[in-house]
Amino acid sequence: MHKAALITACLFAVSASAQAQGCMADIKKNGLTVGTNPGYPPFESLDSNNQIIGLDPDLVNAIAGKLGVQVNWVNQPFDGLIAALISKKIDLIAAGMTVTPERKKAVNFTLPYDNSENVILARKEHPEYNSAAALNGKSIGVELGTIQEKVAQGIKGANVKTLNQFTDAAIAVQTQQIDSMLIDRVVAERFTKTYPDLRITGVLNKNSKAMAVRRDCGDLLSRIDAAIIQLRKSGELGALRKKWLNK
Amino acid sequence: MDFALIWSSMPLLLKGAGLTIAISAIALIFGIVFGTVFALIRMSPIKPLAAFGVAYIEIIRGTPLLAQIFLFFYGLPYVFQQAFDLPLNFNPVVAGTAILAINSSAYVAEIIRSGIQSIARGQTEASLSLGFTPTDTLRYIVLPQAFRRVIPPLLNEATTLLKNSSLLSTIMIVELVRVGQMITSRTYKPFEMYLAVGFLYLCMTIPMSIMAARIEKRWKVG
Repeated sequence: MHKAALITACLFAVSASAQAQGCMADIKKNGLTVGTNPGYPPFESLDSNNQIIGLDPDLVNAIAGKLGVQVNWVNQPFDGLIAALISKKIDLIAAGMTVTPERKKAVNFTLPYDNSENVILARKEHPEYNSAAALNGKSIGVELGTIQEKVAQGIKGANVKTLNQFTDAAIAVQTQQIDSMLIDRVVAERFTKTYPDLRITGVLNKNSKAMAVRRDCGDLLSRIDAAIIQLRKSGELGALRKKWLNK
Repeated sequence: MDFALIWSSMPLLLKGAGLTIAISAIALIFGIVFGTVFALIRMSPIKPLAAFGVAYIEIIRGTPLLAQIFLFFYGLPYVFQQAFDLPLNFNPVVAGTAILAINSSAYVAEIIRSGIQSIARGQTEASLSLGFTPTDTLRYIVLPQAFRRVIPPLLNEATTLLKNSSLLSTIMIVELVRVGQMITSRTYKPFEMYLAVGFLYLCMTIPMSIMAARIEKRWKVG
């Protein structure tokens, strides 16, 4: 609990020094513009009507309800989300984004809403791709700008292929264009259902996911964090996690 | 403006530009060869053959290159695997160069055809009446003149092809635009990076434009 208090205290310091009015006034007027890349089920994907569905949209809608604001969704590649946030094209990133020290230098993260781990996904013929060392000399598909790209770049001897969508990487592994891919466990489990030849062959590091706001939007961040705490206490966040992540 | 970032990214950007040039050059050569073949097929007196040429050119020119790239690289191997249970592994660079060459060949075919057809019909008739065979007429009378006329539009096509190769960034090819995207994805500075990327493309396209203008000027006078 005192972590949230600390974050709130920091936010007050940031918002006081940056801008007295913050971003909430504009958002109340124009709505909350949220950027995401819906190729990442169950965090975000498109349903048969091309509507964005998943844990992130449900969570954002619940938060927006508490803030009393409209939500406008922007569907764009993951690697451009932080640039879009900084250049004020969007107000919030809700894209299953992992908290990293590098990203923290550019944006502010909300309280995390999911902890998971990054895994290796490969075809069923290759259970031996079970560790970072086993991927030496193998091609690894990752989505551009993701934490998994960073993990892959750190693997010795790996031939890292960056794609625009994890879904493209999954097809490329399925069709043997590449040997393996790195991805979040929850998403990997979804892909093994879509492509029955794919298996989770190894487990790498842990990750922690949060939403991100622009650094001068301290007022928005503190309102979202307060909403997340409320949703946690009321059990709504738990229900959403159960619904989408089965956790 | 972070000029230091542009400077420090230059080695990676130049490496990407090198791949862009290599892929575009190879695709252009194959594009011209296949394009010439398809121009002749299209003008063939054999009706079904000519119809095939028209269909090929219209399908390629009437659909977006990006859709062709995805169809070829992601779609085809998946369908192939489902149908025959066999892998169809494309090396991305080979596949990308091939689809660029195929795409370009349709445009080149139209350039070559218009070049050949721009030579006045009377010249062919005069040549035939003077006793040249149809092949010799094509070889000594029509093609040398057509060749001059198609050089400027072909250089134009080369410029388009070079810029179009940026679409290969979507299939794991680390060409110039992809290098820019990769650097932007960790620095969050799209303005500086795409300014640098654009500048490097200009360094490649402006010499081609100048060359096209000079050739046009010199040969138009004559």
